[in-house]
Amino acid sequence: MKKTYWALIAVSAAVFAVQLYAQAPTAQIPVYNFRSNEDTRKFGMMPEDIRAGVKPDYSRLRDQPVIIPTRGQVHMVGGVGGNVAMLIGDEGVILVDTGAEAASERVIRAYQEMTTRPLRWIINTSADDDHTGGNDPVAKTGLPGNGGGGGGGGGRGGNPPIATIVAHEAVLNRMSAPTGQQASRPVGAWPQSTFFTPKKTLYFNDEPIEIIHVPSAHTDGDLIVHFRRSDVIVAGDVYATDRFPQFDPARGGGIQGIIDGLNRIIDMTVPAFNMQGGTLVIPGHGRLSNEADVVEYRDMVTIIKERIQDMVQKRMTLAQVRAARPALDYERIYGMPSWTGDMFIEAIYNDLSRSATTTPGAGR
Amino acid sequence: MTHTTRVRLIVLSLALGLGIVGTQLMAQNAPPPVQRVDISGDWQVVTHEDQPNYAPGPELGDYAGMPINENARQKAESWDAQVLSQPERQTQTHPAQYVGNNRGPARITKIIEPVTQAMLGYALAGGFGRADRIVWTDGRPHPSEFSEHTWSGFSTGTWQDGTFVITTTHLKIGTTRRNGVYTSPYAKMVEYYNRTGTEIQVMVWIDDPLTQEEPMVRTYTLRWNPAGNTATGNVFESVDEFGDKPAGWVPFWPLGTKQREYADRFRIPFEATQGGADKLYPEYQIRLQELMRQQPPAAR
Repeated sequence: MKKTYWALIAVSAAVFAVQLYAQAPTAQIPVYNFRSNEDTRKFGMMPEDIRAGVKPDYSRLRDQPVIIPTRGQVHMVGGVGGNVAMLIGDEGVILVDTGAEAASERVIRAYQEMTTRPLRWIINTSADDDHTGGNDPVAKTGLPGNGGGGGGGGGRGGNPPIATIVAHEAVLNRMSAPTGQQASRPVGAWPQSTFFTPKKTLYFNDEPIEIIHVPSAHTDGDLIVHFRRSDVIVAGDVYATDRFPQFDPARGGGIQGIIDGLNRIIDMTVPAFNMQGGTLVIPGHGRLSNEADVVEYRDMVTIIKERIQDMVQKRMTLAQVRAARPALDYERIYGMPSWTGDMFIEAIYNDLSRSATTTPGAGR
Repeated sequence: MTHTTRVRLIVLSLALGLGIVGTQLMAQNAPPPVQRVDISGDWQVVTHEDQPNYAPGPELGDYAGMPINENARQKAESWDAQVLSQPERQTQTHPAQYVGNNRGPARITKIIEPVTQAMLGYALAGGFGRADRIVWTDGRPHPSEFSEHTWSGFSTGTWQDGTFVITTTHLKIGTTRRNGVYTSPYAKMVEYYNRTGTEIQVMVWIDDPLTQEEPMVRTYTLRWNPAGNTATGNVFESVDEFGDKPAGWVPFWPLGTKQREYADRFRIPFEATQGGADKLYPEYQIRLQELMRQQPPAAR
């Protein structure tokens, strides 16, 4: 009898608990026309707090980075400088970029709060400080991705116990310096695994990963990373939703390389329905995107570039080109104080003028 | 403990448990704090309002009644309809901010949480390309600024004195009129659904200081259409329409193009077709009369 009594009490308590649980805020019901499954109770905004026409400051470092479960094993981390992508699985963690140096602790916390598995690889999409500033401290929290090289005994060999940083060889060239000269970045931030081929592949966490070099775009060492199973592309600074594309001819960048890189991304993406969803794209800066966003951006860059190219062919001066306002349509969406529409126009003008005066066949 | 005491205790604990459960269930069905109006049902937009925006589409260069700024005007002037033939654009649907989006929702259904039966929102099904939308009414916040933007945007709804009010953010760059006029991804749209019997008067208020000199207001009417039948819809499929054009080809009108067809065809002074806040108000008629007088006789 006593057992029956306690059993009834337990059943009552369980029913009560189930009711309470049912009322607790649950995960959002996924709908195909809005797939984001970020925790809006943590990162969201009330509609009355969203002001029309105000561009968010995506580069501002957040005390609490925004983490968006993107798709499959991939998460996007925003508010740490450049966007960071995390691939998390049983074998460990891959980070694409490490954000700004000042945000490195937050990046470390972001991945360590998601898993107990070790960080194994870091992939740098360029050498920029806002994408690689955390390389040194973040890598020190991990273990070598390649398991150590040689040495026998199955140990980690001569490799230090830090995560392996992968980048294009141009990134290493930017960060390091010839013997006797001052390097721009400390040794701990340098990539240990570089390549100069069009593509490098990894297979990690049951995920085929393509690391693709985009020549002469933002710089000469840009990479885009395609997580094929999760169906997510990390674009680096070839694509940013909050600004005109920044390219630096002094570091091997150029406007045509940007356009080629955007077309490459569009070629790789497959939308799910009505030109949205499907393959998701994490930009170097700004919001999570799908193919339609990249297409709009590619069209913008192409139109402005072709307008300026037309004027360069007519031998118009930079002042005349500026006066024609070839980026007017887009200035308020993509212009920002540190990279205005006028700066973008001047960069394209100089790039195209240089190309026009270059001997055919001797261009980039 | 005697048998009677045990039975009493068991009954008491069961009653307590049922009381708690009952209270919880009742709390879920609490009366709404404001007067609600239900907008669910099958609807048909009344297309004689703003008729050119529906089947035929507006003329190029017709920005009349739109408070667009110089940025939006330049983009519209360079917009070439061929851009919709890009393989990567062929399947895109109407954005929510498109005037009379998708001819208005053809069917509005309640979204009910299956366990608690609480209302979570409305699903607005469209016909053209199934430009469906979800309007959440359960008080959830909008996503962060890092979240994906979509053609439908992210919408939440509340009732304000019998009017259902939808607020939408997280829109894509998208046209508000089918001749290239657009709004930015930072636009905010508020829609007011006023139901009177078998009709709903919808007022759309689009605020986007990046592309407009002041918020744009539009209205349209939905009429109850119980025989409406929203089916799977014409889901789009991308095919090759450009032939020998290279990948990444972007059609657009050259910088400096002025789309004058609309003004010429209807003998309207060109300036009056160009949109802008100053042309929305009655005072502009004085200026318009002056412009009409200045036109050559053949153009009047």
